[in-house]
Amino acid sequence: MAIVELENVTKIYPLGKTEVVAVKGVSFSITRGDFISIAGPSGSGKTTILNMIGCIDVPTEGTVKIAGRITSELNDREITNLRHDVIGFIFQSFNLIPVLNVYENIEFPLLLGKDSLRGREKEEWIQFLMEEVGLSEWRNHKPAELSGGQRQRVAIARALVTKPQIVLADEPTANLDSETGEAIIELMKKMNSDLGTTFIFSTHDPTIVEIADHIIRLRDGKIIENYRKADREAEGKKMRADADAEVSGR
Amino acid sequence: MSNVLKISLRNLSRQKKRSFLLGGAIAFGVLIITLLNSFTAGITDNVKENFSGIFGGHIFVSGSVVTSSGKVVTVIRNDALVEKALEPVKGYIRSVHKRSKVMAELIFASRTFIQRIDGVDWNEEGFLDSIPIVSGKLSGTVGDLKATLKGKGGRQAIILPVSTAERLGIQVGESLLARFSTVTGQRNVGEFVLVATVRDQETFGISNGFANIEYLNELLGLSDGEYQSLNIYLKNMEDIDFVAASIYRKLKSEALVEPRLNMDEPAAGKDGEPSPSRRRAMASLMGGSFFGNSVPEPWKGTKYSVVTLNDLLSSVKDMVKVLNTVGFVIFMILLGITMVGITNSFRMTIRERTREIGTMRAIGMQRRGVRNILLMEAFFIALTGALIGLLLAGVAMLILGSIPFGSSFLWIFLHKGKITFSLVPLDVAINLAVLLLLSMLAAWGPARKASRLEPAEALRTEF
Ligand SMILES: Nc1ncnc2c1ncn2[C@@H]1O[C@H](COP(=O)(O)OP(=O)(O)OP(=O)(O)O)[C@@H](O)[C@H]1O
Ligand SMILES: [Mg+2]
Repeated sequence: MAIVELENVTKIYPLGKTEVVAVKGVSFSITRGDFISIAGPSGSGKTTILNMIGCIDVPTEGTVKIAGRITSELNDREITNLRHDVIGFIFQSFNLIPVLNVYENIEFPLLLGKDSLRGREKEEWIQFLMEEVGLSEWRNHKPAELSGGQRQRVAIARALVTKPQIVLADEPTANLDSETGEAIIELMKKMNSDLGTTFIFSTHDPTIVEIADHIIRLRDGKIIENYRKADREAEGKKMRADADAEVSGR
Repeated sequence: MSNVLKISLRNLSRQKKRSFLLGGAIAFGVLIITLLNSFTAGITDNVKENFSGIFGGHIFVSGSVVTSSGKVVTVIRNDALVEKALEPVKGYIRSVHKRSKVMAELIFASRTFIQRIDGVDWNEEGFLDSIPIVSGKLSGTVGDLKATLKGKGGRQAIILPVSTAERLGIQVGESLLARFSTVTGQRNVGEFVLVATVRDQETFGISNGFANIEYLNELLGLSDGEYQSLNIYLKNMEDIDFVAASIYRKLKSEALVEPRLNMDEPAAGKDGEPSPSRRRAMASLMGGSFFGNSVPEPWKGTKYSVVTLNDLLSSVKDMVKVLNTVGFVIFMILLGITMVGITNSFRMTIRERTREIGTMRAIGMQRRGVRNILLMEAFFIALTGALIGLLLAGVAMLILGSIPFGSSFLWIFLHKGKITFSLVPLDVAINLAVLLLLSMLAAWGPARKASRLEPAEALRTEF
């Protein structure tokens, strides 16, 4: 089932007297529970697409449908609620709230919602997430006291705390060394399979792209490749089978 | 604790310099205005207190009678009615004193001077402490004076303002004559001995001498039990207007009463002359003969008059009003500067926190939440500043209030030679409300702008 659907999406930014076409007529859909990578060189439109999926931006043309709702038809309050309820964010530069400690940063989104978890249930859930990302011992530390990798782990826990259907991560490893970066992606992958959350991350690191189930490659605001590994493997099998059949048929 | 509250509180300590500067400016403003307000309130209290010493009371009930010859004399012959009028407000009254007063022409050597003289009971408790006796070359010490007045010398003793004594060229211990009209309109002369001088209150147009009431009554031709004015001290000066109104109403239901002073009427008319009702009040306090004996419309029986200290102190009130206005203007200027400071520093804050604001919005905080965080920061800065300002004002009051000013001409404003401050809760509350409101108003623009940042744009911002 498609949780994200882009249909002929174009995004144009005004730039002085001219305009920049950041995304040109892009269409794709994303299946719930997948682990998706959006890959492409700098300026190819990755962030623009993630922002539109994340409901912090709307397309100039075409439609973006998130959990069945067309984002450009919602007012600010509705779209904020949609973001809160359906989407979790992980940012390239972590973007934790500096005045809040690890626990409070993870808790933060829960305090924004109307019918969020409360009391013991909430504490247990946050405790569980802290253990999952390996930070239970850092509970009372402020972001400034953590390493980059640790901060991104907090961000992952924060993104998951509202049990969103989709987690978006715009170049989550760009500010980390490659080893830590890989560990972060592995953690995201683990959460994806443990919790069934759809993860969409962008990157221009080819080794990381390959971890995804579904890969969308962009160049100059257009899709140049879009495939699910499972489909491709099935296709490959089929091709090989066809080839075998051909061979044996000879 | 609410999210917004927690974040805004922590942001205060995060931006220590900002909080400190803005809070400090606010504290300073509050310090100044609170000091000034309490100072003027204290002055008012002290002036009243000191004047009540001079006049010998807080509320004065006097009576006037038209004689058969058509003259007006000030006398209360039968005080049953007055006592009845005091009955309902007995609980507010500290003490009641019967006094006589006269406008006397004092004669010493070849010089004369018209002076108001109050007939008092020298033994009246606290009387000597309530008047500003000048010690030194013109008079003996209070201790000596007490002994003198209690003894034989008390009968013809007189206490005069310093300036009067100087005008007459009389020294303590010398005798003088006083000429005045009796209650029946005859002329009479008495001999007095100057025993002490008191500091002048001429700045306020009030100057008072004191003589023995028994001797004065004899000279005035008042018989036993007759007096001119009932001087009432209240337990609490705050109650003056209320108690006076009650006495007035009660008297009016049974007798002729001079209309009360209109409190809203200015002390002086356009031409600088006292208004008629004030003139009447002054006259009744100064003694009936003050404004001559002619009566436009004679009346029958005793016509009462109720005058209070407040009626007489309108010039002090005007001065206090000016001081308070000046204070408020200073406060508003300080506040104006602080508001500009708040607006600017919040603009900077928002620029610094753009990405953080974008993050909070992306995560699902509504615009309202972003705005409230900033408004609360302004609120808490103002509140903390105000509380510190109040605290500092308290300390300053303690220090300033402990400095003795000795016997300066400012005595009328002081209490036992020291400045006193009186914190008026309503003033404090109004100042705080204005301050908090304006601070939040100053932060409103930036806060609103912050709440309207586009999350995607805000997140792109590099800092
Ligand atoms: N707000 C904006 N105003 C003007 N142009 C913009 C804006 N945002 C993006 N662009 C332009 O749109 C194009 C796509 O930008 P985008 O940020 O989506 O690329 P990206 O793939 O995320 O690049 P990178 O890997 O550098 O983050 C770029 O040419 C960029 O300059
Ligand atoms: Mg980008």
